[in-house]
Amino acid sequence: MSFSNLPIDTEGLPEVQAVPFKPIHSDYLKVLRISWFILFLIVLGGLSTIFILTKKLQNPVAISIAAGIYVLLLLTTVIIGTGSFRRKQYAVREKDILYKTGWIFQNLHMVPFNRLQHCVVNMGPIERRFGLATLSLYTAASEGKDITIHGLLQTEAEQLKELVIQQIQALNTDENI
Amino acid sequence: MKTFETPQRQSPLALVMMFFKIFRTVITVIWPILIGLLLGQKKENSELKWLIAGGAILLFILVRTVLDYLYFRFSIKDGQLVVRKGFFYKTAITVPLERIQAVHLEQSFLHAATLTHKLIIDTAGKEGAEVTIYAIPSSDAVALRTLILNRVDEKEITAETTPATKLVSKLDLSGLLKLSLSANHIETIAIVMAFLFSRYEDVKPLIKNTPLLKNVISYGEAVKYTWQLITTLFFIVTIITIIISCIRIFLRFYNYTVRMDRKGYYIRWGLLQVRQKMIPFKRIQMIMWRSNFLRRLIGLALLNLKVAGTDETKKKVLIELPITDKQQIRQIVPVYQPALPAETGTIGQKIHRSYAYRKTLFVTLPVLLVAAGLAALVWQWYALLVFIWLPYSLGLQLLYCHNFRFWVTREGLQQYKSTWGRAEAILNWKNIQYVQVRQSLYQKRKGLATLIIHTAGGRFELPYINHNDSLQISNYALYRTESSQQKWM
Repeated sequence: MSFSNLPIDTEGLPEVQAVPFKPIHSDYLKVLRISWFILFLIVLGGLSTIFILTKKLQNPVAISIAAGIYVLLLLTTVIIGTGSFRRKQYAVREKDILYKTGWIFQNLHMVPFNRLQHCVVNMGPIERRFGLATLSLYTAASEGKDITIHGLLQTEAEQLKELVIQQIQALNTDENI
Repeated sequence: MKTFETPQRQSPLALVMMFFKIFRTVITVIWPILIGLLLGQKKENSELKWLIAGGAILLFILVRTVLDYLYFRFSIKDGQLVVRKGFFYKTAITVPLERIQAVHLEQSFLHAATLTHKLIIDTAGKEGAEVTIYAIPSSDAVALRTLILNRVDEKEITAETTPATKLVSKLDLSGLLKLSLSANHIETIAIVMAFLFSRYEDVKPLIKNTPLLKNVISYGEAVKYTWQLITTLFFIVTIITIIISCIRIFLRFYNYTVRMDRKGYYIRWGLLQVRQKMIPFKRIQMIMWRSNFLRRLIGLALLNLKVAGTDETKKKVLIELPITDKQQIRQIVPVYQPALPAETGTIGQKIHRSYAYRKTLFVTLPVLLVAAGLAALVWQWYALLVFIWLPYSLGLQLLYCHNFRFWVTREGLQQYKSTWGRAEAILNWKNIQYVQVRQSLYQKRKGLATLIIHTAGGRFELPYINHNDSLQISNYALYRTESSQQKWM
């Protein structure tokens, strides 16, 4: 299928596919691993309590099933999470932000600055230890998630936030003239 | 004209409306408890206990109503709608008038008798903070609506005159009947069944204690189910369903009139309660229209205006216009987009047929496996008959892929989908919020992708198109969005 029905010369347009993307900080994988460790430790604690308190469950079959599901979930989280981490890349252009994410379902989000409502920089306790931050971009889209870029250096996240806010303010000023 | 600068209360009729609203909320929460108490009560002192309990609930509702009424005040100050409400839990809502999306007027019998209107103000944002004024004098309601809408459009409209509204469509009795009979009766029966099942556990004790219902149930258990009986029951259920569908459609679309002026559409409808809605053109983010098989045959469609800030779950603000003539679509669409992309002479693009196979493999097959598993508990090997649905579903999906078309032009995008029924949608480039290209590992291997264009009124999806095409459309979409300062709302 060839795509040629646009009435303007599409070859002259800036191409998303030609943009060099920048991977997120490598320390974010450590953040992810610590988060998974804590999460699965809590789940293990919960499961153990249930098995200790419920006599009916104290048989090899039930324990094997629970252990099997636990290990399967753990492996899936770690494998998909790591694969997804390696795909997370972003690029900032003059008029938009591009963000690649996902491993099994690979997504490329393209967000024009002139559609952004606001943006937020978040720093969780584990992220803070590694000097990392998360930038969330909010548009008025009624469905779908807002775009969240994890694993940015704190200074970089703040700079991006400033850039986005400047762009939004510049657009608002233009509108008011 | 009244300016509403001083905070004011609602009309006293609002007390009645608010009382019933609070009464309904309280009863919805406590009715299973009431039934339980009623059935499990002991004889001694029961009347006194009921009187005290009923009195306490009624007193609570009354006090709450009066407090809610007294502490509700609204005003318009410095270009903002200010609403203060609540006695124990105080809330102050401040909405810049520019953020108001639509103002709806409603009038029930009680409102008409007291020359008042109910006023609902829709505001922007996902949370859909909504302000409801239960009753204000009709003249004030109209003045408030005019004041708000004039302010909303102040920047764009220079000289304000009384709007000269033009009739776009009016649903007459034959149209209403056609719409009722061609409604999705399977959906109706599903709604009725879901309601009955959800309430069955609640009313179970009531059935056990009511002799007549008890007899009906025991008769149902004892009777022998012959084919004749099953056919008769099927016909009875069908007739009841059609009647319920008709009632639903009559309540929803009775006297449905759509008018338009320079600013937007004015929609008016209602059998027991007359409702009016005003939808400014600039709030429209996407337009869709669809027909089921029957409606397609008799030339009927439902046109859906996707308005900013409303999502699928908020039925109240979902704007559906019944279309009885194709010309009506041509009258409605131009205010959003000058020409339909499909009618500009460009060739419609197709989606890849592997969409049909993947959807059958990952959606239909798992559903059928679960269904067959459950059916096997009752029908044993006959449960395998469930899989007859598989080739039908695959055929339907292949037909969907074969018929799917989309058009990309300077104005925007259009898509056409059809199997038994059909659905079309148009999207103007200016309404794009952000663009997403999604690829599964399979799609990546085949050089395919799904393009999702997000708007403030929902999303526009082109599944399984060529990956390069999806990137080119994205490039163009970004170019159109970023190269102009045209407002999306």
